[in-house]
Amino acid sequence: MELRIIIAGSGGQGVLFFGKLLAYAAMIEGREVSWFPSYGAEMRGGTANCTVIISDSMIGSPVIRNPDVLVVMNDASYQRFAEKLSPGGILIYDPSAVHPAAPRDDIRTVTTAAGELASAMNSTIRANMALLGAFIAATRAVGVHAALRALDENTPAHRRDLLTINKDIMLKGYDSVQNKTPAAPGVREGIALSHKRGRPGLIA
Amino acid sequence: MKGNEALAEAAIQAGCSFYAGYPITPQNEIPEYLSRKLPAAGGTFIQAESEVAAINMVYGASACGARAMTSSSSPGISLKQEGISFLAGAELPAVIVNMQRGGPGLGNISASQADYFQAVKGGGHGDYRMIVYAPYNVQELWDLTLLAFDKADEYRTPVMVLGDGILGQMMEPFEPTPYVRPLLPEKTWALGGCVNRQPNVVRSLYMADGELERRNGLLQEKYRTMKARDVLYQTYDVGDAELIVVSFGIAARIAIAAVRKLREEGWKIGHFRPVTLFPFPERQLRELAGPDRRFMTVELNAGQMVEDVRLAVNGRSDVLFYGRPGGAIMTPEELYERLKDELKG
Repeated sequence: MELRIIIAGSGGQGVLFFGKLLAYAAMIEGREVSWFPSYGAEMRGGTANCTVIISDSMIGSPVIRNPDVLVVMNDASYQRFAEKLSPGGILIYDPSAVHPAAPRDDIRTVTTAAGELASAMNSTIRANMALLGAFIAATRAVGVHAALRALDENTPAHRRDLLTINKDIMLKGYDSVQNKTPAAPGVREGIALSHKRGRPGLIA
Repeated sequence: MKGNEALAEAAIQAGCSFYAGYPITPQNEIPEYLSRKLPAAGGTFIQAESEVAAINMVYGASACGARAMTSSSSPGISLKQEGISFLAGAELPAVIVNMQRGGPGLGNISASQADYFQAVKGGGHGDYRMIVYAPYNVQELWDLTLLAFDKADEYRTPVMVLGDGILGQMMEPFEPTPYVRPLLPEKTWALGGCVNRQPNVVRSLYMADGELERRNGLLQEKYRTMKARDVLYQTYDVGDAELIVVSFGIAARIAIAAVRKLREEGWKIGHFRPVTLFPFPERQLRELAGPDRRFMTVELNAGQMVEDVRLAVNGRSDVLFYGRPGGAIMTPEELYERLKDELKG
């Protein structure tokens, strides 16, 4: 079982931190995981993205062409990655930030008003946390508790005051997804995607 | 923790007490980490004025008996070649890290393996070699960095850890195994103030009649010992394989993903991964060669290690090549398709 995720947006939107939290959460759950960022000039104002792979066995390449789940935070990222999403994959975005021209019908689309949820908490730049919550509800790639713990462990001492608001926004994003993928019964919370080559299927 | 940071922490655990370097992407997390942590651990961190200065500071620190390291990426490693040759000639231990990027010239900042020749054939002048470790995950960045310091001291030689931009930038879980210092000879040759003894001299200039040849003989003897004792490699499913993919470092990660998928589909395919690029696992590859078996070398360059695989196999098997030069990274999907075409014949 292997899940390949690309998170993309513009520099400063927190896509690398989104990926880092996801990777830590998977590690907390005892799974194999790799995190690979775009780096260098891309961080200074342009697009930024990272690839996270979560697996039950040794991960081969940390770099992939076709993700099973794509989270995009701006139009440029959508245009760059949408066609690469595997058939049957999941696309996650905030419709106020991303405007797909010709939506694909062979994928599942999950939207959340991440920007609105974050600005309601006077914290627009934390839309990434809402999207992470929505991502968990839609994919069950990791459990909510593991993600909250990952956030706790990755918040440095001088940012502790922001921990609660980050957690709240993440949980609001989680709640905002209407058709949540249920956590698989009898297994560890939050692992619900099976992966066959190019075709992830949902275990309801 | 990124691969670069894991490597930097491993250096501290191994007792590295001196680091000098000059910034370059994609290895900047190494000096960044060490600038904070090395002084706290009692060591010395210097951001040098250039790569050339850094390698010569390492020469000086090593001559004084310190465990010394420098790191850079491809263009910066080119600048260090003179210093590496001097380290080899003066028989000074040092660890040199190259997180390769695309070349030639300034190239770009994405991962590459195009410095293979430079690393294993002696990139500087003179008949020298150095042990070259090629980690393929963060765990090996840790383990092989610990080992690199020990081997450098054991042989009094520069040792290179040859990574790339992907390994340096990625994060994945690893076990930071505790460093256990092996029994190593005292550095009686080091310059540490010569109270109550004759002065030591560290040099690579040997002008007397026959002196340099004798010196080179000793170096070659050392390289023969490395070839006999220090080869590291890993094989996957080579037993009945009709096609064996040979790759190192990050290309091996990519290749193993493709090979595993083809194995699951029933194809007789295996993988061979040199962990040391010098000494190269020549004998091990030769023993696997035969008329019923082909090899395919996969590299993130235009074809470098493939020459050593051909030399090792020495005509007993066909040796094919698939690679992407600097500026491109191959995906497991792409390689899967290429390998499948080859297996179908």
